[in-house]
Amino acid sequence: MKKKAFVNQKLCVACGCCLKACKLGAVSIPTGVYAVIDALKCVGCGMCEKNCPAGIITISKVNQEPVEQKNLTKGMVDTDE
Amino acid sequence: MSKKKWYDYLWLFSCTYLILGFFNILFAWLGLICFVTPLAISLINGNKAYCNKYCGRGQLFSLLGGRFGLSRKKDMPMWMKTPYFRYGFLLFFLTMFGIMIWNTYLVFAGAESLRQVVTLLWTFKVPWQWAYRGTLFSAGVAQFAFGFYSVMLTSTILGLVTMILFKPRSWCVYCPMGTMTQMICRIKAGRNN
Ligand code: SF4
Ligand code: SF4
Ligand code: SF4
Repeated sequence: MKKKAFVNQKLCVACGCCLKACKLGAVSIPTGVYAVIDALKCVGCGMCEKNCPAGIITISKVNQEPVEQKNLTKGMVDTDE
Repeated sequence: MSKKKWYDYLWLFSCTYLILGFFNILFAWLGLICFVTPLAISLINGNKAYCNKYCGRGQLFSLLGGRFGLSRKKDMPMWMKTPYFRYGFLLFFLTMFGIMIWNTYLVFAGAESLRQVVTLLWTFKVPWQWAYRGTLFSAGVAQFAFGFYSVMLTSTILGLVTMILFKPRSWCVYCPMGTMTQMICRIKAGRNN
């Protein structure tokens, strides 16, 4: 089961701590409003989650390969239940 | 990501700035760089490159809280992350900033005399005359320096407290500059869509 990072974009302050923490360059803050995770690059290591001062990143399991870049909702299903 | 760039050392600038204020308060004027640059970047480029790359204060907190372990690394309470708190704090901060500018004006205008104090947390007046040996210009120039340094030291103290209590860079969640630049970016991004 693959894991990916998800940003609560409503509460994101665009500080960039996640961007600095991600060794794979999966994070960008293109418009300065919130962080965007590139699901194709993200391996779900959790470094960004650890470093987010607002604590608004979650690492969740996904059950299929992401189909589209920067698409944060489609193709992501939480299989916890 | 791993290789350090020149701007990864800007925390040295932040440290130096705070120290210089103990020797000569007029150095406080340099702090305007930390006000103008982020605003200019967000206004011109529509991003938060200042926060994301250049801000020495953020680097200082992540260094002290991270490498030096001076942080509990706990999640901050939910209310501190809400836009109500963040924008409320920005409003409060700007109001206090406005009052500081007004006091500076009064000294420029000669209506008030220079007060050689640094006000911490908008409340505690700390005598600071040892960092002042007069100015070639109006006393208002020095009054602004005292006022501005008060703002910088106060926000550093708040940032250190929330660094210890929560995550290293907790200050960035409610930092007025961060909130303001995000607001500018949000408006700009909205316009482009
Ligand atoms: S660290 Fe958290 S708050 Fe900061 S930009 Fe990343 S997701 Fe947003
Ligand atoms: S979980 Fe790891 S790989 Fe994915 S964005 Fe966060 S730091 Fe990068
Ligand atoms: S939010 Fe404030 S302290 Fe944090 S990086 Fe941005 S300007 Fe610096």
